Amino acid sequence: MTQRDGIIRRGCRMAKRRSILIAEDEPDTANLLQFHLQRRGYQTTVASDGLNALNLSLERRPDLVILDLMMPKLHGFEVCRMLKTSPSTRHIPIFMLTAMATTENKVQGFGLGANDYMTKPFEVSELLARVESLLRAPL
Amino acid sequence: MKLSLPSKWFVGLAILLGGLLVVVYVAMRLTLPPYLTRQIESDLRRDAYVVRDSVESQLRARNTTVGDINRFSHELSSQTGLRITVIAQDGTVIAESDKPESELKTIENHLQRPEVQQAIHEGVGSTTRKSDTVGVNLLYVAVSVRDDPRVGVVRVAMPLVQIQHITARVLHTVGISILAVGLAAMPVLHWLSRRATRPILQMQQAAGRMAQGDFSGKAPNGVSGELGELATALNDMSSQLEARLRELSEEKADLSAILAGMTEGVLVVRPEGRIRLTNQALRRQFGLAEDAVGKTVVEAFRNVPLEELVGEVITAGDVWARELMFQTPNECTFELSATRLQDGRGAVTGVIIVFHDITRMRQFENTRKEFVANVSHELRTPLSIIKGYVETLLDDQPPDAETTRKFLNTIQRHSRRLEALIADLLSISALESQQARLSFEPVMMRAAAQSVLDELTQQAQQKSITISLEVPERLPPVRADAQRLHQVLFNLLENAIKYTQAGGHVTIRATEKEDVIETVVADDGPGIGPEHLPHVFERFYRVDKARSRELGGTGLGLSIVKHIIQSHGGRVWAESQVEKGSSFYFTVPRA
Repeated sequence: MTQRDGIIRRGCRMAKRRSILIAEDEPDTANLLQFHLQRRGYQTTVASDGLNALNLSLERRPDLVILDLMMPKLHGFEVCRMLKTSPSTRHIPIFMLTAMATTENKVQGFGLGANDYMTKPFEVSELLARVESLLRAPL
Repeated sequence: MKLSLPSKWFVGLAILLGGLLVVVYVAMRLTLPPYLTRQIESDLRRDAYVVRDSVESQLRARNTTVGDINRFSHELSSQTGLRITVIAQDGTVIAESDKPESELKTIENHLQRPEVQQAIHEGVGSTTRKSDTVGVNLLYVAVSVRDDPRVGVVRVAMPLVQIQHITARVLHTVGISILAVGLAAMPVLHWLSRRATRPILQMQQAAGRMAQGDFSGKAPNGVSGELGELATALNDMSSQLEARLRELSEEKADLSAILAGMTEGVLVVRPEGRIRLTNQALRRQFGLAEDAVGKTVVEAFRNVPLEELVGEVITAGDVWARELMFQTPNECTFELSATRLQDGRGAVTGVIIVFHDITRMRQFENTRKEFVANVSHELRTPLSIIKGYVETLLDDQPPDAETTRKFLNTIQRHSRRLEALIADLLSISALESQQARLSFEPVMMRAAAQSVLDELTQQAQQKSITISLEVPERLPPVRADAQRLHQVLFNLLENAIKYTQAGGHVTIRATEKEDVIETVVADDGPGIGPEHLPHVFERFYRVDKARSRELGGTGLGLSIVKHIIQSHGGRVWAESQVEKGSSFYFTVPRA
């Protein structure tokens, strides 16, 4: 399946556009993610620190949170823990995207309830495939 | 009362001699009086015969009357000192030396006297009794007279008092002699006892000195026999003991020097859990007093796992490289190695534990780990961005020209960031590596500051920031590595320019303070909050991450400054007031 086909199919679902929260303190990364996700028809919001990410998630209940870990104010792990303990946000899939690349970090992330984990630097196409997969999965 | 050995000998010998003399005296006392009495009696008997013979011859020579005999008796008595009685055959006393002739008639008949009866019948008789005539105890000896019808018996008598007197005198002489012998023997006994005991005493003293650790005095050598052998044995023992003791004390001194010199703490615990020994390092590590010895492990260390470790070693055997945490009072990590102490028979006499403080090692490891994690993150972030944007640009569906240009700018920015980061990391690596020796030389602070100023003038002008250089020309040179000092000044001045708003002002000032030159780079920028100020020299610490990113900061500039200044033996610190500005100070020793 080519990307073009994906866009066409996504276009068919414009009626219920999926919303994605990008929790990322590095604006250039956030911009890149936003560029690609918007191009694929997702509705995106950017939170530039952990606290903001938590508040926006609780407020808007996005369909997916792409969560950076090393963020000011509140660490990504804390954001994840809180979202997964709150009944209103427990169902939201969390996709950790981080430079913390050790196995320990990954195990800890999954332990806190992350649905997927990807390390930087990453391939954009793989990231998009994983996002799609997470949104497709019945929750 | 305790007697010395010679005194004991002397007393013993004296008692022996005294006893002997007493026995002699008593024997004399018992045997002498009867002997003397017998001797006197036999003398008296002889005297009696002599007197009888004299009386007989007197009777034969002339026609003697009774009166003549009486006179003769008196004469004889005064010559011999004997009492002489002449008795007729009918028992009438014819002569009595103790009485005048006139009184002869008053003397009763002596026929029934036992000695007289015996003399009449046996020729001689003797008896001891009280005299009716003179009223004292007398020894009588009577002898019968032959060939004369008038005279029957001649009797001599001696008072018993006289015999007793003689006996007493003899005994007195004997007693005095014995006493004299005894007294004369005393100095001899004294000398003997001293002489006999002297070697023993000398050995005793030598042994006593040995017990006190003085091996200089030897036991006497000139003694023969068993005592001599004992002395030789004692001397051998002394020299062996001395050698052994010297070895032991040397070993002990070595051991204490080793214990004192060790950087590891050493603890020796008795099997019942009380402390037997601590070394200086251990007392320093745990702030223990010298009196920790004798306390239990828990009392001294307030650490249950340590107590359990002691028990484990006693029951299960040695423990190697066990890590334990202690509050001393800061949290410290120790690596403990514990070994059982056993005596020759295999009984456990204690546990020796060596404490190796690995707190700093652990801290260093943690810092290192954290640094590596940070570096990884700092490298991955720009790389990730570059990679992502490049991938996007190479996409089947490339963005429009304007976006492409924007993306390329982003890629360039992050490439530069990566480059700066790598440069700073290399700086740190060079500073930390052993090969990177600093080449110290006298450096003029003004010249160094001026050259940095020249490099950054353009950057300052772009933001219309004015810089004033207040470094006196005649300031003494500092002892520094010129290249490193340049880096310090560059990082500080560049930071000041970067973080100060346009139109601001930066001052570089240097002053002489005792034996250092204190330099400050001060700006009138936004300042640093007091919560950030203590951390600004830490690696990757950023007061404002977004701003730092925007300005292309690596988060390492100030940590490099700190590192360089510390390797110069200087001090670095920051002062700041929010909204007023920040001042970064550092000192470098004068050349």
